[in-house]
Amino acid sequence: MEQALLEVSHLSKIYKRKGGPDFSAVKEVSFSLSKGEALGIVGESGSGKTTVAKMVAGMLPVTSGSIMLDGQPVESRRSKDTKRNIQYIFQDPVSSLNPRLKIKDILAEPLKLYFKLSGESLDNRIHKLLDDVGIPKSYQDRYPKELSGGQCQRIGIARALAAEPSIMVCDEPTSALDMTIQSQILELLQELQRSRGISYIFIAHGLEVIYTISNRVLVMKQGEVVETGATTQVFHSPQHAYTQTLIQSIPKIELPYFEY
Amino acid sequence: MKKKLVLRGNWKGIISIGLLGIIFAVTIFAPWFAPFDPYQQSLQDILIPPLSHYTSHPGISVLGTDQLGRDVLSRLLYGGQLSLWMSIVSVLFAGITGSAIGIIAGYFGGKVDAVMMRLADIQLSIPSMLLAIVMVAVLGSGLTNIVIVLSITGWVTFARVVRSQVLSLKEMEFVEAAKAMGVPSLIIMWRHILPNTWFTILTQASLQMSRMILLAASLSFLGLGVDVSTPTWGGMINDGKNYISSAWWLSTIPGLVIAFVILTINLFSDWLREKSEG
Repeated sequence: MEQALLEVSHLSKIYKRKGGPDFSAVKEVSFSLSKGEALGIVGESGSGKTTVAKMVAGMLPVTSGSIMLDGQPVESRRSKDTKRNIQYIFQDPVSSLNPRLKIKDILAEPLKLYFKLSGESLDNRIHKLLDDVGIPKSYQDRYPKELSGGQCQRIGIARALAAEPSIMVCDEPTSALDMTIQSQILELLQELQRSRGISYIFIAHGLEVIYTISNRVLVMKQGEVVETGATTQVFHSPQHAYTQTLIQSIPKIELPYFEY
Repeated sequence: MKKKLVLRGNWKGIISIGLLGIIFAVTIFAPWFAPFDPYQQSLQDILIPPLSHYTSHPGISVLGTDQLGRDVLSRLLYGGQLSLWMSIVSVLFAGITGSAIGIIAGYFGGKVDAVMMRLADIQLSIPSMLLAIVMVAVLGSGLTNIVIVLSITGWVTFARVVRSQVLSLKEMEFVEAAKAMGVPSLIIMWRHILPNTWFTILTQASLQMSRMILLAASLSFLGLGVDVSTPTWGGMINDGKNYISSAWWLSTIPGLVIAFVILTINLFSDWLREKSEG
């Protein structure tokens, strides 16, 4: 087996509480991610999925455990290159973009920060990114509030892409969008996975979203991993009782019968 | 149709900006608008009431003359120049330092925040008028000192208001995104936080400006302002108070002007606040 791109072992997050027992949001979570793979994390609200994602992305300090990227341990103070390699896509596409910046300035930020681009090469790169996520070039001078939720999420993806990461952590990137836009965004992400070999850590409430995009699934409950395995296997023959309840709780659409 | 809607939603803005424009124009260009020299004394025309003729030279004194025969309207315009100028400069200083402190305290939190906000609390516990009087007494009067004193009394409000907004802004996902990307703190504050507090700062600045005008006038009234012969609105009220029974216009007119300017500025800040919420 080839070496994993990301190796997370015994990751824990403990919050200290005043005058009470400490609360462990995440307990000893371990998983690995290889290049071009999509790992889905499912679980109910408060199961610690987002906490895991934020720790991987370096947005929350890790209490204990280790993260290895490309065989190198990730320090608690991350290097710029590590930060560049792991990008995060937010749940709320609108609030993840600064309302006072134009689209091109939002996209220019990572390009300037990581690649020191400027002038014409910066403009070209922005055009290329907008093209990649299917947004017309003319939108570069608009502000986020002039865009729809789906378009904002595309800009969020473009911003992450600008860093040319090897891993994208997606925290429910489609839950704020309606169904048709959801599938368009998922298609875009899959397309990027195929063309660039980006790996995903994908968090979602909607199991159907996870089913569409991920190769492997991690089921979490109260901060612990209760089941892990290939997506089809977990979905078709869930072993753990909790996974079974999760899968049974997928709403099934029964079309009403109309009599003419 | 659309034009009408614009007018209806923004009448406060249109009226206040218009009036402020006029106020600023006539005071900044006081030498063009003032009918007479504000320093010119005339002993034959002492305390003549508004709308009466001068005896020493041709012309009508629109707002009367003071105890030395100086034209009140001219002094009002020249005095406005100084009063507005002082308040603008001190709001600028107070706004820049206050906002910077507010953003830094709110963004970093922890000890930095605690130290800066306790400092603000200490200053807030002393009435600003008292603080200003003590400081003028120590530093001495004069234009520069008055501006310094006004700025020092003003920064606290800016710092507090801006800080509270930064506290909610820094939890927003775009700030989190910039942090995760590794954007330096200084740039996050400059690019992502400051532009989103603009409206708050601007609203606060206009509110503070009316406060500064009042404070500057109060200081001049107490004789702690700039040099006595230089016309200022507060100074004019002070000069006129001894003649209030015989020459009502001396104190009343500058008082009305101060009230009018403050009301206009408050209308403007009200409009700004509505804009920022909508």
